[in-house]
Amino acid sequence: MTAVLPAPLVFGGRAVRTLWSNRKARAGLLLLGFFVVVAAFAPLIAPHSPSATTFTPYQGPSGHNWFGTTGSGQDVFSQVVYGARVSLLVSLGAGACATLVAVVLGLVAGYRPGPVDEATSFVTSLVLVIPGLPLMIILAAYIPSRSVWTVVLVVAFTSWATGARVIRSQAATLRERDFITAAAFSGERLGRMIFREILPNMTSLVASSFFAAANAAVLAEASLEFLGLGNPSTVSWGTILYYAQQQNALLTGQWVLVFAPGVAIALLGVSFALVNFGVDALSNPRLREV
Amino acid sequence: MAILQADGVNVAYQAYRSPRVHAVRDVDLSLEQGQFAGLVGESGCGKSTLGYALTRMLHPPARLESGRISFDGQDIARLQGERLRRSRRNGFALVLQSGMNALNPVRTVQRHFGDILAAHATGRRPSRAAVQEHGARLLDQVGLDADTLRRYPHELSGGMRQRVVVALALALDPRLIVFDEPTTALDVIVQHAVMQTIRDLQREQGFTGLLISHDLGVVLEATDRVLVMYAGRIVEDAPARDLLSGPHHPYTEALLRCYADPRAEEVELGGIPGSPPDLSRPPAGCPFAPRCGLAEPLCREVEPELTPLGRGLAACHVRAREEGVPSAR
Amino acid sequence: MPAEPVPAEPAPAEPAHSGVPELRVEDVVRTFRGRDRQLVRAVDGVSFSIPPGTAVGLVGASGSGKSTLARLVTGSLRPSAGAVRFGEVEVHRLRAGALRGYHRRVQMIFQDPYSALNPLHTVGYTLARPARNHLGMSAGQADARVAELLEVVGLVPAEQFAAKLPHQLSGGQRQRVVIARALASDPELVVADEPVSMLDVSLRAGILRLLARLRAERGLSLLYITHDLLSARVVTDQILVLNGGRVVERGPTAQVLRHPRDAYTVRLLDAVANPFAAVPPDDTQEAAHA
Repeated sequence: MTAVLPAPLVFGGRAVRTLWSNRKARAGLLLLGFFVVVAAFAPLIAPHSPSATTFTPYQGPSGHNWFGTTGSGQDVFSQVVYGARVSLLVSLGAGACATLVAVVLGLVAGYRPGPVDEATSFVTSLVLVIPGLPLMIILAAYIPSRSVWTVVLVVAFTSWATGARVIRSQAATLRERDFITAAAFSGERLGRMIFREILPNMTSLVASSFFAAANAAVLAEASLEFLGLGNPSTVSWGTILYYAQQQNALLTGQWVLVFAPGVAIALLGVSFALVNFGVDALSNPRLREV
Repeated sequence: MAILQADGVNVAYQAYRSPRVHAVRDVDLSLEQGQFAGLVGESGCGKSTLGYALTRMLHPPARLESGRISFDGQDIARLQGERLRRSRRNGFALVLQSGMNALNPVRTVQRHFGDILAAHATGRRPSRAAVQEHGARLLDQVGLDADTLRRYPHELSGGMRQRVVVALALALDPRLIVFDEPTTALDVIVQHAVMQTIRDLQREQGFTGLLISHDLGVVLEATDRVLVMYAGRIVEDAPARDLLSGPHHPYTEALLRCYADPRAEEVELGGIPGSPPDLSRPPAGCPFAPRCGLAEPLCREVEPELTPLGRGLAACHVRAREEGVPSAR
Repeated sequence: MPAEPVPAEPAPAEPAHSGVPELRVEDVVRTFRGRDRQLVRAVDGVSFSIPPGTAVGLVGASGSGKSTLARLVTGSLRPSAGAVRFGEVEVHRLRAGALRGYHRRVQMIFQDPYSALNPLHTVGYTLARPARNHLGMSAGQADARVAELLEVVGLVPAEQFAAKLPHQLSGGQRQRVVIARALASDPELVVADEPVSMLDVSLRAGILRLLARLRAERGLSLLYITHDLLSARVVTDQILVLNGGRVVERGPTAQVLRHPRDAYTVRLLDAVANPFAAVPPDDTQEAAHA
């Protein structure tokens, strides 16, 4: 009855096991794990430095350069490998930021009806109406510093609203459930109510929001980089596409330059989508494979 | 002639990665034209599953595993698609528990009638006037007035919605209507009124009715014949009056003791200790034996069959022996 | 200080139990803004009292105001006018912290066994919370209390049940857990809102007998809310019949049910599914009374 391990560890372990038991989610976890490994061990996997301009430019795939070289003589394969780092960082980072904001605002709005709820819902609706990509472009264009963190913040800023609305709805529904009233009768204080009674019942929704936001972030980040609104000197899949376009890669027959980062972006997005299939079981103990 | 005849019906639930639950076990049932029968039992006894099986409304993970179901002499258990749909036209209808869920919130009541009449029309689409006239007539039968036709479901009270659902069920002049807990979701006073309407309708119009309910009191008040279900099997089948004055099966007896008249001088409320068996592991012998005061060793080994006792049937070894009738094959 | 209105109902027949105060509801009104912005009087001038150790029934159909009254008594709702007093405590004026203290003494049993328990918490956790919050018990003391409570409600072996999750229990078992939770803080008054309505009839007698026994053993006061007159007859000493937010009839339960004076009471009696009234009584059924 009393916990032996610290709660977050028990929870995390159980969450992974629950996701693992769903076939699609398992595939997603494996795919995501693959990218994580590539990103973590990039220096070991990539044969060359991604920014070293030591090769003959505009070469197709060969023994030296598996994916060929860029117009500046850089090894594309190494770029794709190192690019995983930025893409993962931005997608998970932006996804986490957006979800955190969504959860905080959604809970605050959903838990207590009244002026706070109305104000927050109004702001959320407002942000939802504004088209995401154009807003991102404008923000990125006007922010003076160009770095990965800019991208993370811009993406997070434009994608919290959907999650906030959904979480608010569920918090409002949960608030009416008898067991929440019963928890109040049991003497629980606000902190425990939120973190031990309400949030655990929203795990599926929060996880789902997170993976959806991360998925959107992958594409958003690539889009911004491709449009030249990121930092052109960072190595990411988006910047590979940016330079590929600048250097007319398709005209010079270097389709790998477009294909490789494109497939990588798609696969990372797919991995998030697949994991999302397994999150229903997180909040429903009956669905867990016992 | 029996209008509905079911033989050896077996229904099981098989969900992905879950044990198979044998919800309806080898049930035989026959309903005569014009009868109003009640099927009563507690949670998990299989009565709703049986009701859905009889009207061919089962959805996965429920599966009709075996058995013959004849409606008007025609085997409907194997019908699929268009032929099943057509057999519903002049055949049987189903009234479900939650009227609010059966009605489309964005369509008026009149459109609901229009949809039903059009879906099963043989010739041209019925005209709006025809729908209105027919609809008003049906609504009148259930005690609602004609301008209910213009309303949307959310504008009606729970009781009114359920009456609309009954009227829709009557629209195609069915020979058999199955009511699955038609009043359970309603307020207690409204329940009583709607149930009376249903009973009066059955008497006036003469359709065959099957009322499925967990409430023995409601069933005894409304129906002529009661079938008691326990753990997936029918354990007693008798005229309502006889069941009340002299039930044969120990479960029926125990169930009756759970009811009492609040107006009586002394009120004694009975209960049944224990709980029904787990149908993912159907028990050997009589399923009620663990909770039965009369249980004998035979009861735990051999499952009793329905045998004639009094003016009905009951499946009990002990009672059968008292009457000198065989209770097992 | 405003003059206190005199409660308009007969004096209680039983002597007061020492220690447990009387609950008094004085001329309480509660309005809501209903559909199309109209003001609805859910409770329209109700007064009654619950003498210590007695069981009082509030009966009526839905919309009669009985659930609203229950929430006014537990402090979950504030009256629009009138007062609710538990001994010296002015329930209608309690705020957050004091309300928590009030819940140690006044607990609630909920109607729906399927939503009254948090699906993610074990029975042991759910029962331990009130013991820890209201009684200040340590983890070990709370565990002992949980075992004690499970035995009292007949869920044995206690260790087995304490480790179970709600979806592993039947409806009747869940309701026993709900009752155990209500008793965990050693309350003086329990508000039971339709505690057996969602259970099979064969299970009701057991639960009602449990409630009666607990009341007798612990000198609890009970406010029993239902639309089912049969269970009210079995459980309560006094009864109030509510219609449209007003009390239309009141008195000792057996007397009111056997000799109802108000037409609405008669309608409620007729609505009780009573197999023994359906068919003209035989020799074994009740005889007519003068």
